[in-house]
Amino acid sequence: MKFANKLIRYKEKGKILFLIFICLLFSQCVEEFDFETEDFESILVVNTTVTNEVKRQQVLLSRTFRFEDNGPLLESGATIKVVEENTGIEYLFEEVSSGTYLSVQEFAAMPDKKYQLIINTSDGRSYVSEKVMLPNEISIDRVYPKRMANTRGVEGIGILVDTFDPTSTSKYYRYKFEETYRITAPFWSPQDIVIITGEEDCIYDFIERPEGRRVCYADNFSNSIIITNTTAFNEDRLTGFLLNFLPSDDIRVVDRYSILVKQFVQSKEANGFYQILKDFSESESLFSQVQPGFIEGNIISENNKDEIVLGFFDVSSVSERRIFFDSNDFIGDLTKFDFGCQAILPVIDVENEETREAFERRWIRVASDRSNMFVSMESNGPPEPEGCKSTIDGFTFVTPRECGDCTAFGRSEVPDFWED
Amino acid sequence: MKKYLGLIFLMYIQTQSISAQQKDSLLTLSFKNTDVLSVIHLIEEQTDYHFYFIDSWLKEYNDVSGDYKNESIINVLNGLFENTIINFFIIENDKIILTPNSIIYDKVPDGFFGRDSIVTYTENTIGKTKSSSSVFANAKKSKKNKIETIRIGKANADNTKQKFVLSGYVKNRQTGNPLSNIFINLNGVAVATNSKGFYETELNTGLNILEVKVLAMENVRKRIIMYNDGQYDIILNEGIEQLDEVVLQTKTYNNVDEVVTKTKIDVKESKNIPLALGERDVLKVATSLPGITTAGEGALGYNVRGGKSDQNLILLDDAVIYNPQHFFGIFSALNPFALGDVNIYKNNIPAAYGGRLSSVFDLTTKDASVEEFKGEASIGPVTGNVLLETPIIKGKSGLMVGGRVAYANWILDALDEESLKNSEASFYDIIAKYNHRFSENSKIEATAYISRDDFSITSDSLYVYNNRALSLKWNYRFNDKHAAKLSLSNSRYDFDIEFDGDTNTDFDIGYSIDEKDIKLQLKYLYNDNIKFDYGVSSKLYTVNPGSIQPTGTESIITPLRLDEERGLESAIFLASEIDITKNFTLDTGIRYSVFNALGKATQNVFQEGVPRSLETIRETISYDENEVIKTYGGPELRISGRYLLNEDLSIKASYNKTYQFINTLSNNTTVSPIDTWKLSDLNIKPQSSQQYSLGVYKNMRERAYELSLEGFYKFSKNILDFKTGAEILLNENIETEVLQGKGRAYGVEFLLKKQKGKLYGWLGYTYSRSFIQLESEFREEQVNRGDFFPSNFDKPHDFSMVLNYKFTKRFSLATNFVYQTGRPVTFPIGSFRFDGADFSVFSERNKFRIPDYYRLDLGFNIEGNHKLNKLSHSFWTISIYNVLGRNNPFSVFFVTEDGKVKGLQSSIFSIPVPSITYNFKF
Repeated sequence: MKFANKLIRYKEKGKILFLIFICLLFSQCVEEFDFETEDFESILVVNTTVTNEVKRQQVLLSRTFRFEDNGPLLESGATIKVVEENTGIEYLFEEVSSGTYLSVQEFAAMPDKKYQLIINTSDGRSYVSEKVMLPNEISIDRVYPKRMANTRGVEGIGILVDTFDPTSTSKYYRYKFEETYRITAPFWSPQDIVIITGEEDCIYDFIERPEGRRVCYADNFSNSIIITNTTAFNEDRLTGFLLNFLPSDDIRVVDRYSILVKQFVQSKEANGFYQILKDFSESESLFSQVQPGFIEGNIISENNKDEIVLGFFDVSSVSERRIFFDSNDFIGDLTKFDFGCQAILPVIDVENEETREAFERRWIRVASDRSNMFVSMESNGPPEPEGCKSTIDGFTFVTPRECGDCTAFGRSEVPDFWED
Repeated sequence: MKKYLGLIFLMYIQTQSISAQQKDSLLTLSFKNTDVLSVIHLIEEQTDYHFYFIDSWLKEYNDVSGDYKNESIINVLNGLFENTIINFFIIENDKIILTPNSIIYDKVPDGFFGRDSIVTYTENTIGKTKSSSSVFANAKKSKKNKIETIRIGKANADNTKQKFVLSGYVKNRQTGNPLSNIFINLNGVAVATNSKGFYETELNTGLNILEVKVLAMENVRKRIIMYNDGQYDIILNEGIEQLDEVVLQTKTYNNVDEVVTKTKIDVKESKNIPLALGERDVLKVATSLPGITTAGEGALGYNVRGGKSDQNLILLDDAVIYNPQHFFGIFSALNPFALGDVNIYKNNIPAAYGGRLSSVFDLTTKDASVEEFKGEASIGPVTGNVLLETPIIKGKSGLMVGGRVAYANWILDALDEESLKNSEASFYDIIAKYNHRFSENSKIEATAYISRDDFSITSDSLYVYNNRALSLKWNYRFNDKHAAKLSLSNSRYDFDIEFDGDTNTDFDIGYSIDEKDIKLQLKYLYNDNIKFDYGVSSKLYTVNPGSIQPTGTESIITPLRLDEERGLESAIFLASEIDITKNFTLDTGIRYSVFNALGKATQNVFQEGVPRSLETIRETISYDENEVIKTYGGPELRISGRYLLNEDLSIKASYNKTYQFINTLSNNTTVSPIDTWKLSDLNIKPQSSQQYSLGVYKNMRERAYELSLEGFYKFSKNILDFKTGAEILLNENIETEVLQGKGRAYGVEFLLKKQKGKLYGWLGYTYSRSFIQLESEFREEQVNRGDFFPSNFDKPHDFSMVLNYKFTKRFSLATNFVYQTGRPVTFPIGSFRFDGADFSVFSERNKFRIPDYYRLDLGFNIEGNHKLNKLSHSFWTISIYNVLGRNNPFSVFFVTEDGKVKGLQSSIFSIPVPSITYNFKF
């Protein structure tokens, strides 16, 4: 026994020592810190990708902002045009909302032509981009879900992409995606209650509940830079490129899921820009950190050579593909998203000597707070007697809103593209 | 290992029994008509006595008899050797040394230290040779202060002369040879023998005292009474002296006196300095001295006087070690038990060394013991270390083998944490050395060293890096004035990244650099005032700059292998140390270095006046095998002078020029093990540097305190850097990403050392700055608009204090305190939104600093007891690293997570880290 104790103690000691080691090995000793912006510079940020789709092309102009601020200052009042070099055609843009500029006419970037972006800001400065050509268009071969574990060993579904360019000219790929997922509230019941006040022997009554809060749809947009290239491969082919990983307990795979994947074939220079942006925004290793610096794009100020401009005038060919799947087809056996549902049953608090009146008042208060709570009922209990209820019986219960009202997560309108 | 354990166990038993038997070492044995050798074996069997002799001395005595009952060993041996020429001598209670003819004295000869002690205790027998006066009798006489009186000549009543001539020969009794150049002291006047051993002198009539004192010979003292001219031959007996411990305090290592200042690390003392996880690290001790720093706790490499970490030439027995550290610099890759001397040249690099700008770390291993089997071991929380030494040919050659291994791997595996299951972190290093002395004048040493690190941070990738160093040295002394050293060495560094993920892109990336070096160095002592040091050296580099191989059958990775790089770096050097006056000494050296970038290779030639890019290649030239692509080089002057103002105060100044033809490629803020080394070629110029320094050195209180103050200014050219975000690994056109600029560093270093007393240690303070300038007419090739900016390791204030206090011989306390200005970092100056996510915008490089660094470590050392016959000498170190629990940030970085920018700081040891290490010697 004594020996066993000793052993345990040794084990504990070992743990402390090697916690330190873990610290060394893994980013456990990394902590977040608050910082304030010093030496802030307001720099023009140009974010645009002109594609080969016929549409009103978009240019977003903003300025850098302090970390303390919530979001960017949008750059209004600029005049923007894209010039097609060979033909001299100028596509003019108009500001549709603050900082968002759309081309007046629909147009698409054409192969073998060079385009240049010209911006004149309201303070009289002008900026020009390098002349950029449209890369090859390659359609996505396949987008598909696959059950897998990520590098940390978490199980879930990976969204993978296959693509192939037989001409071997594309090489650099960037992806964006839009996810849409369906959520069905687990404790939704077709009947709701209304609290009746002022009437004796009547506390609440049942009413029909609109369907709209049972099934909802939510969206999510990619917010990281997803780029890859095939330069190290013997052919211009991507097989099973992991675009997105959904842990099994993620709400996005609680029911049915759809993803629209956009594939941009981009130039080497654009890839370089995005690669640096990505490198600087990811922590690679605890021990070696990439030397950060200013990311040079392909846009310069015409007035002042020393002025720096952030952004890249990107002309890409785009192709897209949407898929749908039910999560149960892949991860039915795994732990799903936990809605955190607790059924709060109306029971008198005997311990604190709660009176019946106080109990009723308390219950009414809870049941009326629809922003946090949802009133549900046991679906397979005996049928509820008609008419106004004078006592609080065991048929109803209260749950957090998320459990019965899907609008806590999304919207109830079915998206146009949705396929069940 | 089991074998060794057995051995240790045996030795243990033996030593135990000694202490038990020592008092009653009375012998009972009888033998008849046997040989002496067998009797000795018999005694060895019965007792714990050990005899030391050469078999051939005894082989002629094969018929001895004896019968002893409870006799002392002395009586037995006296009897045994009665009719032989063998003398014996007992030391350390149980060791018996036999000598033919000679006698061992247990003291140095009389007057060796100028003391007035008298030759004492000897055990001996009368020699077999018919000597006229036995040594025994002699010794007895000297004890009683009786001197033999020799009468010369026949007195002649008619003689009116006051002086007579005495002559004769001095001879070695054992060899019969005459002894030349022997000083005979006659009444305090010395007379020397000539080459035939003959002497002649005039003496007054009457009593004279003759004395002969020669090292390795017995002393002779006679009373000479001169009656007339006459002859007296002096016959000397050989004598072997077992000396008392002789403590030599040389003046040559003295910071005031030496001309080329070197930083010497006391390897032995380094065990007393508390370090992270109880790991002894000689080079980390160096970083507590002025001018040598690291970029941070988890940073590889050393920055010497504002130089990049690739500018240090780290030599282990003359072979280059590319990465002397394990595990991101937290552990040293050099076995502290194996090291003998550690000298760092940062001020003036001797002309014999070259190829790196900032410093030379000259590490030499100690020689393996040629006398006895020895070992040293330590067990710490993370590593275990064993070093064994054994003689191969007694007295001539020895072998040393040492190994260190980290056992972190199984601990990671044993942890419950799922995500760590596939993690790995392990390392080891092995060193072996063989030294062989052929004669007084000729000695060879061979050293082999390897180290390996394995680590994986994510489960799908494994990083491995290896060091290898082999060297062979031959030291030869032609005569007292001329000596030579020929060394051959081979070094290799390689790393490998294996990626084994879920998709079809598994790969294996490899890199290696190999160098073969030959160096001949000669030293010539022209006279007492002029010394020369000259030689030639040449090394051939072979670099495999990177290759990628698909692994697994499904992998679609295209195999790629960048062209091999080769280069030949050669130099001739001549240095002389000249004492111009008694107080002024100049050490002047010149080294002429030449670097040839060799084919087979292809090189791009770029258009002038435009930034280098793939689009601006004017032509691509192909070179054949061994064709010279480009030759760089030039003279490197190394001058330093020392002027002694008085015995304890000197001023030194030096000028140093260095070239470096090999660079590390890294776009990280700190050095990483997967940084690659690249040779200079058509487009990448060699780095060069010039350093000026001036210092004042002072000793106080008989060198109990050493004080120095030194300033330096350094200017370097063609320091390598990279365009923002450059891809380095496997880049076929790395020259399009490289920027080369100027470096500037200056500083003042102050060091106060106390070396004697119960409280000892040092206190160092450095104020220094280090800047880089990357200027170009093209904005994409500029950093910080082409202005000078602080380098990644610019730490203006650096204070360190190492204080040890010895309570008793067994207990001592060690403290180590460090304060440094925070390292420069690049901070974002704002944020911007792009494609739905926020990112940081970085503008000026290294404009900000991380918070200042400070750390206090405490160590408590307990030496094992000092019993003479203990099996092993043990030593415990209990230490706490970072006692104050200071959360020193190592780096600061900014990540985008869920579209939002987050500032993160990492620290390596943010809490006090206790550790306990057990060391023992046997």
